[in-house]
Amino acid sequence: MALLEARNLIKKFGGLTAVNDVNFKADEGKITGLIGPNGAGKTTTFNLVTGFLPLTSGSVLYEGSDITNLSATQRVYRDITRTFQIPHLFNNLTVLENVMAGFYSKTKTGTISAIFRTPKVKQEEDMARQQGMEILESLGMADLAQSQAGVLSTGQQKMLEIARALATGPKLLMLDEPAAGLNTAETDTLGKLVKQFNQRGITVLMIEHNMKFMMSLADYIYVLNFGQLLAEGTPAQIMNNPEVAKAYLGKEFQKNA
Amino acid sequence: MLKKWNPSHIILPNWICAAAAGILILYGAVSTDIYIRQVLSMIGINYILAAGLNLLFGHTGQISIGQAGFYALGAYTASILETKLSVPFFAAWPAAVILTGGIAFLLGQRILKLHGHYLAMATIAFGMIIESLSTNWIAVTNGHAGVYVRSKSLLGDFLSSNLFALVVLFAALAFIISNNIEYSRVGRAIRAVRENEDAATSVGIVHSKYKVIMFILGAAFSAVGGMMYAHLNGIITPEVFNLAQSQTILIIVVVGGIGSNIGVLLGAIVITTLPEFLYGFADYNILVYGLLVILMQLFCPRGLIGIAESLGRLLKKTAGRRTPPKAAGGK
Repeated sequence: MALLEARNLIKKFGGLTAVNDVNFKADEGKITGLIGPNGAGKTTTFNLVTGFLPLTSGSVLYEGSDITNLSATQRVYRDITRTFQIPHLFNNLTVLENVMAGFYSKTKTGTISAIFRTPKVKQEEDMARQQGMEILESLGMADLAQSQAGVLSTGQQKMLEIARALATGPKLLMLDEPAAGLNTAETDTLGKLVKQFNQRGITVLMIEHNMKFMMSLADYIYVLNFGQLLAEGTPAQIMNNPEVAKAYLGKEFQKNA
Repeated sequence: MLKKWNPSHIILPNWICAAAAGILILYGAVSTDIYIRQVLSMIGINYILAAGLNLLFGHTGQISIGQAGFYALGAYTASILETKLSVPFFAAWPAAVILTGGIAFLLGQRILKLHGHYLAMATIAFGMIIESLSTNWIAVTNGHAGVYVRSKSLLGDFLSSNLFALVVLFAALAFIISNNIEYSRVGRAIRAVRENEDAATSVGIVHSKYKVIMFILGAAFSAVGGMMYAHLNGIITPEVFNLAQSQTILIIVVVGGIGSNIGVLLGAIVITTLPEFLYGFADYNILVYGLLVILMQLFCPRGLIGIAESLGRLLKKTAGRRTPPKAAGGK
């Protein structure tokens, strides 16, 4: 079953066609990978699917319904959450506050309730704080809860972004190069985590340049090149595809595989 | 500037604020010193104005150098309704706040799409438009002659002799509202918008909505300040609501501590009383203001609240040195 289906995505920036007639699916409960050389249009595709950029043409189907016309924030309410290639954190807020902000779409109190500080406001605050701490604990970041997000290392920032994304309660989690900038140990931890929450039922769509990481995790991979779909298949099929090797992986990798 | 700034973790509970307001009101009731009451009232009004801007600028990260426009709208609307149209104050005041908020809604929806300098320019322009209207729309505003507000006949004996208490009450309300918003889902949402709009979007926060809401709230606060000023002063003229006034409101927030409720209160106290101490300098007032802002930005970008926090830490350290902790480990 496809949780997400992108049909004939086209994005033009002036005269440049960044994404040209791309079709792909993310099956429910699976990890789907999106790879391709720099400038292939992977992040643009992400932006199209999450509603951060408007499509030139094409459509995005999610849970069987057309979400092409939903705004980026409406898609968050449909439980589609993304992370960014370069961590986008609330730098001057604490680590805990960053995760608490992730509960925004799952809580309700508005400005009037806030002004009068109704019991519901306090209840939501307590809930967000408690569950936020639980998420931090599960990622081994509990001791950083009161640190400022801006002073964290790159690895910690990447992890915090994932923590915040998990707080939104995603069905579809879209990770844009989660392993970029991480050292080997951090990458291993990240791999285990992605596997873990995928097993808990979160569908993952992921862009990644680290081939070892991608090949060990993904169930199915799409390869983009110059804005077009070059190939698709299981990791094994992708590694043995001469077209892909030529465009992206390089001859050496092909030999080793 | 905002990058260096850390959120202040000092929280002044609402009950302390309510108690302080109560004491001030009691003091006002027994005191006969008109001068002190006048200065305290102006601190209250300036705090209300700055607290409104702090919600918009300090928390949501959207600048406004046109708050005097809303200040004027509140003052003029209430005064004209009461003086010229004989509307009772309990109807005129809400009307003034609602009209000001409505204008903020219409304006904010459009100009809050702008960022940084462009937004600053747009808000300056708004302030200039309102100032120009209050100067030149003589049929309504009486131009430079101003609108007289006879508080005694408008509010009755009791309220007009207790205007000070009313100002303190509204200032306390402004403080409590700011505090309540700060520690809520909405408070976190607006700080998220200030920090990173894309990241805010990625958790479902519609940034344009919160920018407009805080713009309206800031304007409503200013309108209340304007109403209070008009009744306290007895006359309003266009010069009171000029660009310099908008700057002063911004300076209070910056000098006090951007994003800190207590900081803004400190800022209001310092910036309001400063001219009283600088009485002999006359026109050099503004020079001292300017120097103060530059020095604060250079040496303590987090404002007065930042200094207070550093002092607190220093005191703790020296206190700790006097009674060194006993060496750990036993026999």
